[in-house]
Amino acid sequence: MVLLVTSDNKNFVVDREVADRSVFVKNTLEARGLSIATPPMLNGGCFELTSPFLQVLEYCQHHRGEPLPTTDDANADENRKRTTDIGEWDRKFITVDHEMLFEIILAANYLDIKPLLDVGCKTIGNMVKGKSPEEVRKLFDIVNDFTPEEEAQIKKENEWAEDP
Amino acid sequence: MSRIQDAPDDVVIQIYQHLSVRDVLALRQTCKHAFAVSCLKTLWIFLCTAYITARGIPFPDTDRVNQLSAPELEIATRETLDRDRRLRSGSLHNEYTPKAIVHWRANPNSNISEILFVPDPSGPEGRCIVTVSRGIWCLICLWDVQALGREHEITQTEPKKVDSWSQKGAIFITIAVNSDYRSEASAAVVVNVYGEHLVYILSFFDNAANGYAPRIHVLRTWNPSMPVYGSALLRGDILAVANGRDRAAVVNFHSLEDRVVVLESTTVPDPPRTSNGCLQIQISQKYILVARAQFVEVFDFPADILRTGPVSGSSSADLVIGNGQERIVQHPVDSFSFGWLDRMSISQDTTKPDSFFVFFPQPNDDPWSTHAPTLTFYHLEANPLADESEGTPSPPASQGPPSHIFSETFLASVPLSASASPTSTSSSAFTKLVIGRHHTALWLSPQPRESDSTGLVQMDLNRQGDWPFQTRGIRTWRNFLGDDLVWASFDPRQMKAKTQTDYDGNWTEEGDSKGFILTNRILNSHGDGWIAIAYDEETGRVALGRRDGFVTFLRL
Repeated sequence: MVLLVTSDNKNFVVDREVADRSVFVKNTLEARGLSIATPPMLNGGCFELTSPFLQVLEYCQHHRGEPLPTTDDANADENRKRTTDIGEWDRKFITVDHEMLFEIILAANYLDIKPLLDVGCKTIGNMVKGKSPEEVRKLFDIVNDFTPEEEAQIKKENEWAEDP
Repeated sequence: MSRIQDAPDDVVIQIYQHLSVRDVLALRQTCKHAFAVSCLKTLWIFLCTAYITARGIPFPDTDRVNQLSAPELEIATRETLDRDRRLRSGSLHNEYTPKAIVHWRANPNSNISEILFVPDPSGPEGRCIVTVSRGIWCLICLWDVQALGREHEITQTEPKKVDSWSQKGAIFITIAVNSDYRSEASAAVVVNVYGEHLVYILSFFDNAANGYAPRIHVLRTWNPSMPVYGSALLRGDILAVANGRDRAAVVNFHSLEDRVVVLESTTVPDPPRTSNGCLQIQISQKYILVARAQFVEVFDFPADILRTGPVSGSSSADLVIGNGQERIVQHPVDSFSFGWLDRMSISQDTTKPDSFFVFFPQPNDDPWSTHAPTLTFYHLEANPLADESEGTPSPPASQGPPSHIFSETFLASVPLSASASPTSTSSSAFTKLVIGRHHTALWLSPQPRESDSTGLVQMDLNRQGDWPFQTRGIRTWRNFLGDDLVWASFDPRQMKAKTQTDYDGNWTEEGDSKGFILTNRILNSHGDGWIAIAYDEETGRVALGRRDGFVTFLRL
């Protein structure tokens, strides 16, 4: 069993097999040779971490014991990224509000859980697909910080001819 | 509050990597942070690998890509994807509009009979193209075409002539440009100087001073001691030339005096003593192909040529030492014939070692036939069995025919001209064609007039220089509406599957062709008389040399 502590000082006791889904935790545990670690000091800790961390733990519970993706195989890496389909359980799991989706992606990135990061990024990819910049801004509540001149220039430079 | 604009760069990169290029361009327009991340070179390397290289779309090699800056790589990636999309939307009569067309008068007095792109270390798009004019003596000119026809970099309307080279009394025979941009030798020019055939190895760049200043100078001169006709090859240090009948010579241009490998033909032309000019020499890792009018012969790659020490005679080679020069004679290990051809283009298949694409116009020798000549695609592949037996010395073949190291697969045929006409039967002798390494090809398709008026019969004088292998056919100019420049992409895997089942020798526009060969008509010569063609597949550039001394440059 492993004790994980989040930056807002919540304690989680999980199976080693579950914790090992995170390459970050796995490597930290292996390097220290300990069964207790307090690694996930997530980015500054300025936001509530417990709820995304619970989500991440749920994901790790579900996928426990599965082989971890090998990092050295570049081709497998590309194939993984280019397929847009997401498994049934993952798709239900990731059906959360946009804010939680980003929190999960950030946590997965920090904890180095590649499959979860991919699921999150694919979900965003599917949401963005075919949308105009304005629609994407609305979707993710992005503040347009370009001046009108800059925006016009960038729009002009990024036209994309579509198949009819 | 978590949003894309607050996410760290590596997370945004991850998101971008799950998007299509179109969606990357949309997302980058949302805010400054998204835009900044979308300009990173790592992202564009990923995108060009995932959407271009992995899909077999022509693109410069990885080491060339690394030379590009992030904005240059982004432009190249976007242009390549756009070009590929437009190319693949083609059908038989699809019109393709090039991004840019530039014409200039390269020689006011003579024709442009050869034109070639020059690879150089400056980047995937080399700075120069080289033109050859056959006057009384030949004139070789180097043109700076960097960024020519790029709309966002308005530079010059005409390229600058950088340098020119001519040798007194030299009658031009052939030129080969070095496909290895790292080599100091840029080109090999074969000329006939008062009856003696000489090879000039030229460098087009001054390496010493500030960067790569284009300038023509002679590195070496070589007398191959045989009359050279037809194609030559220069790749890296290796130089190969052929005579008009039965021999080719391979040397390392750094040690011209030390060693020569002679590739001696064993196939007898039929009828004997007929012309059998060299159409192309092509090399792969293990083999060297000498394609002649009547047959293609495969030789073991003369690896000895790259060594500096003394050589040990291999099984298929005889070693003779005379005048301080080692002379190694090699005989073919395989040969095949595609009929009697006027032209042929062979490229290496980038997806498999020791395999080639072969592309040629198949003349229709029956004067009464109404079938127009066709363009034919073959694939040559080294048999896996030949690879396995390589390690163990095979028992010497006793008198028998050479075992087949290569297998040839017919891929497809397309008609040379859009409309079949008996007047076009001789036209295959004149067509110019190039096949690329990444499943694209470019050719000139003569367009016969529908009417069968006889018109003036005129001997094409410019062709006479090609003697002795391209004298067939007299073109009736008034019966032609000029040449169409045609650009095609083909899918060899689909071609194989289709041709085995439904190819019956009759190519039809709607049926067989669709999906595995897509042709695009780019423009028509309208009597401009295109006599030379250069194709840079990986950067999508074409240059045409004209009879009237003009050059037409296209950015596809």
